[in-house]
Amino acid sequence: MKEREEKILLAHGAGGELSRKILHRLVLRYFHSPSLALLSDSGLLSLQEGMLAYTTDSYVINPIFFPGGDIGKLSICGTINDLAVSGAIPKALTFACIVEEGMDIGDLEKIFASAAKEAELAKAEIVAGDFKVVEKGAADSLFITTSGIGLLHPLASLGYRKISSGDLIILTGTLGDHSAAITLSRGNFSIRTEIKSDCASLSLLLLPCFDLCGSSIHSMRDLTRGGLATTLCELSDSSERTFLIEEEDIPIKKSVATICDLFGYDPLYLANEGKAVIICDSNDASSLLSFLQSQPLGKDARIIGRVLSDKESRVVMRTKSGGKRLIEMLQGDQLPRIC
Amino acid sequence: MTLPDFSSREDCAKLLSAISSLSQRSNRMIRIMEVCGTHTMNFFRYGLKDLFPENLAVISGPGCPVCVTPDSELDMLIAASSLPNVITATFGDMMRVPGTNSSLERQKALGADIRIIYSPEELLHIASEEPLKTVLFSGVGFETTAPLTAALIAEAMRRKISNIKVFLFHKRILPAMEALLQEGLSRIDGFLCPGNVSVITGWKIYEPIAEIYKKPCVVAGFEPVDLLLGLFLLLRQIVEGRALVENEYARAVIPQGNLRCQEEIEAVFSLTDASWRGLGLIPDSGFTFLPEYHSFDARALISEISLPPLRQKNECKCAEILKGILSPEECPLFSRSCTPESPIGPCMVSSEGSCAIHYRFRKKI
Repeated sequence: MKEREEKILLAHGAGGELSRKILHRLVLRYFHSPSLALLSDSGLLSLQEGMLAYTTDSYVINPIFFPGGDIGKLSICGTINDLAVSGAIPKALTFACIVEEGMDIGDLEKIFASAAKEAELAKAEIVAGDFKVVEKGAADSLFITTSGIGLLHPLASLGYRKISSGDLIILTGTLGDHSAAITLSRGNFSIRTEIKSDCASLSLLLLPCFDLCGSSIHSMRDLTRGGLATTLCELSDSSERTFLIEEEDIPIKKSVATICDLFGYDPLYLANEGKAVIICDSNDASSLLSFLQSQPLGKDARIIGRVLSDKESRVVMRTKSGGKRLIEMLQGDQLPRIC
Repeated sequence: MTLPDFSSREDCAKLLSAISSLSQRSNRMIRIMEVCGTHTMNFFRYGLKDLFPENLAVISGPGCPVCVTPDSELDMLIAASSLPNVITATFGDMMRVPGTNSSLERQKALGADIRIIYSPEELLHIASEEPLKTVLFSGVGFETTAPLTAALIAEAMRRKISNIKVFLFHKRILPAMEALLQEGLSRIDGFLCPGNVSVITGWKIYEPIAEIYKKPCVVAGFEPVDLLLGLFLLLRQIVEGRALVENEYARAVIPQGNLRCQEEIEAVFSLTDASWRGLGLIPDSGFTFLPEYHSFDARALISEISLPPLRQKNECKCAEILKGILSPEECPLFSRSCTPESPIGPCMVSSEGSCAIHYRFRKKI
């Protein structure tokens, strides 16, 4: 009997005795939430007055364990980061799994443990969740959907309309670590590297920025699918401004740059899971940069460019060799199932 | 050993000004063909194209392996990928390339087992894990990738793995360059030769181009300084009226090339005539299996299947573009009905395809 219990069966999702057991073994054991412990149909939150941010995202990454994280950690970080770059302090999360029949319960335990740890780190409570099992082949191991509610930071006033000529563009760290780590963990390459995914919750790095110079921060975005290039194109598009960035100032780890050369990737388009760009008033840029660089998650932060006075939506990069190149949105050649 | 910085702004500026003064010594348009798709890509990526003098045109040649693969070969691959109990292992670049009626991407959506790999070595793992299935590979690429396919087949033979089948679509670059010159349509003053291919073949293979056709050749690497130094050396030969083979990429390329890789190829393949998109049948420009390796030939899989009749892509100017006669912008389909999202010719799909590259960088700064 014992051995059978180590794999997920369809019955684990059927609502009966096995469901109750797996709920205790995974959810209640790892997620310490008073609201969740009641096992009622909804989680209850009490929030003070103010504007709320509410977001959701699904995670289908392959493989589910990778250097620097796993799908559990990623599913919490991703949603926390969506809140943080909106200027919201994460308060409550939901966590819903679709599990493939036959999945190893030990693996699920590891994933729940790392999700719980990440949520605690970001001071966000997992207040509700769901656990469904589908037949073998109907999903690939595990898919997770999380949603999050955050309270808007009182000093945050973000908006692409605020992006104006002279603003500086800050990147909080190196590009491409996540994509490079996933690429390497997927294939059977004889390449030994130290590259790890940058998967991290950015709320503790980004929210203090609003305390420091809230109204000077005009825009903040995390750099997931499509990478820095796509994010800057979107911001330039909605603000109707030209951005000029300097290739020389964009931090990329040597190992990641080598992987890019080997696989033909352009690091500007690689997905990241723990990096953001901040567009802010030039007067406050240097104090913001010093703060970011004083934090472990922002130690490689740099000013990488500025907003020009031209009112044309485009992103131009001055290359290391002194040429200029127009940066465009990602055009469908990205690694699939990266997050 | 630390290598010098091959993207130094100062070095690039010096080379650009040297290129500019050389080109002023000519009162006509100088046309240099870069034979390699990665060269095409990097001229744009480094933002160098806009810095060239007005009378220097750098045009793309038949150097994108996916682009020169003709429909007939693509159709064979697509048909075989959809057979029962076949797993197709392919490089990502091939997925979206349209054949006559379909593409690998489309067949995958319809249920074919198609997996993207990064090294042919992965086939050995797949084939051992799935002994009851046929694992199909399409060997696409020039001399750069042909040794990998040869090594795969030799290793499969050694390990007695018999469920691997391979389409040999590999091509040799030199016969294509000669075919272009024999046709004489593209008015080329010199060739920027591919560094990656030359690592394997060595630079001496280009000597007939210099000696017989009197066209200067320079083998170049892929960093900004490599590209500019390559152009500088070519321009210097052109304005001085010389035609030699020079090697800019001496840190990687030697006269005879990588003999071990060449032996690897010769141990498994022999030369054969091959059909190229746009260029037609070129003698001795492809590979076939030596008799003892015939059991690996994937053509046996489709011997009973009728392939779709080839259609004429009247409007698509792939052929002229691969020959350097037209630029992608001169094709009536370019960025209108042919885009990377819905490509009509393979040059719009591959990351090394000149149409895809020109599309990506089509807006002017």
